[in-house]
Amino acid sequence: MNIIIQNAPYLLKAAGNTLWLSAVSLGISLIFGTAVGVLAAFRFWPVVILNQIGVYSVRGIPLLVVLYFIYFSLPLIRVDIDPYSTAVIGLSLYFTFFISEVVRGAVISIPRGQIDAGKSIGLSFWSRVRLVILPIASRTAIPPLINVAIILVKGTSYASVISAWELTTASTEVAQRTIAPFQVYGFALFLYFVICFALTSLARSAERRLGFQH
Amino acid sequence: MPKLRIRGLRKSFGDLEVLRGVDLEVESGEVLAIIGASGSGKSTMLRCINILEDYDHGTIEVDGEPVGYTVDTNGNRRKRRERENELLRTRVGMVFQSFNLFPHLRAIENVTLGPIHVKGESRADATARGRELLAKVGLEKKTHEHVANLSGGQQQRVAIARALAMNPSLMLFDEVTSALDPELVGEVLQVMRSLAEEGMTMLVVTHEMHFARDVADRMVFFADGTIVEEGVPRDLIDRPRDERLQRFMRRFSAIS
Repeated sequence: MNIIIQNAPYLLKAAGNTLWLSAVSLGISLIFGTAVGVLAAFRFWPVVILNQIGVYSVRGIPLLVVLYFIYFSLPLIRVDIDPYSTAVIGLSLYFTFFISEVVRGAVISIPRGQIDAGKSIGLSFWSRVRLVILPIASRTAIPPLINVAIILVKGTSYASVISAWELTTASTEVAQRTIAPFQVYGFALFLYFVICFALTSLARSAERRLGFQH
Repeated sequence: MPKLRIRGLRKSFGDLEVLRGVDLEVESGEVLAIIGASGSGKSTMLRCINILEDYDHGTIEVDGEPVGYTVDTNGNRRKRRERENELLRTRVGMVFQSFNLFPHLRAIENVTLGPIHVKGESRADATARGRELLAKVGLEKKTHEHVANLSGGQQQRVAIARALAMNPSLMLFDEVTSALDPELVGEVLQVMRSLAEEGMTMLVVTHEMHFARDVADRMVFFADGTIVEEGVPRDLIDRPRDERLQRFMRRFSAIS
């Protein structure tokens, strides 16, 4: 118990990094995933092709390998960035195509007539997307997006292999130093669970607020 | 100049030609009832007028301005810019069979969305006018209601208010009472009747023969993608000439 109390500030700081890494990657993949998903739903063909390539790639390649690949290939093309940024790039790229599929599915499930009605009152394409399509799609998209966000948070632990400093990296350090892996990793899994549980609760309340009256 | 002029309108979906050369003129203030069996092309024509559907041949003009496409003196057809078509859409109001209200918005927000985001009106002005329009369709008490809590008849009246909020000079009604429970049809028709009395130009695709007889100035019958008979409603209803219209009317008298 002493070991955990002594190292808790360090591990909590690392958990803060995990949160940041998750939030930044989730933010970026939400922006790109939404854009790709909406345009693919409207059969804008360059984006349809991009989405297909991306979706088949992320379904077929483990996140760990993606992170290794980016980490070791960027220096070859003389791009020198820190492991943390590498992790952000890898996670964002990877999860963009999980989110794009969720968004695309939600958009194509909107009754055609509701989009026609937006057209009919003269809304431009982007106004229709912003004022009609995304608000309606969010109703169906939010539960699966919670899933993606949770998988992403847990995926940040892979960043430890490219020595980005986050909760898993820090836990390994502490576990090796203290020779108390049971307590240290036990605390780490508790922290991961708390983060994901908080995320689920937050998203559930968002879902309720966005939820339509039935 | 007529409010609406359609010449030689043709439209196919794949191999199926749904409009096979429609010619139609509607004067300002006129109420035109459009009848015909399902699949005869009436809804598709309305959708072409509101540029919700592309069309293959012919011209549509609203107030003399070409809708959807322009045709130059050599007869070359060019699709109009999206921005131009968006502006043209605002001059034509459309009400749909399935209401198509925005389900995430309240009644008043459905009505003010266009004025605020298309016309750039202030929220306060748009809301004031929206309240007037909801009162006009008899829904002043439902202003802040979520639309899913409204009955079908109420939803359809919100949809009419939403279309009117853009100040259209031509209103298209696409079988607007067909999805309603019978006891809710009257309230929607009443709103349309008063709109007609105010002098709105209206194209009404309908199966409500009593309404058409009372309110419409003129009636056209669609069959096989064209207008095959045209005249005052009571002539078409009581003395149909075309054999297809006679059959169509017999089916109506059999059920009513």
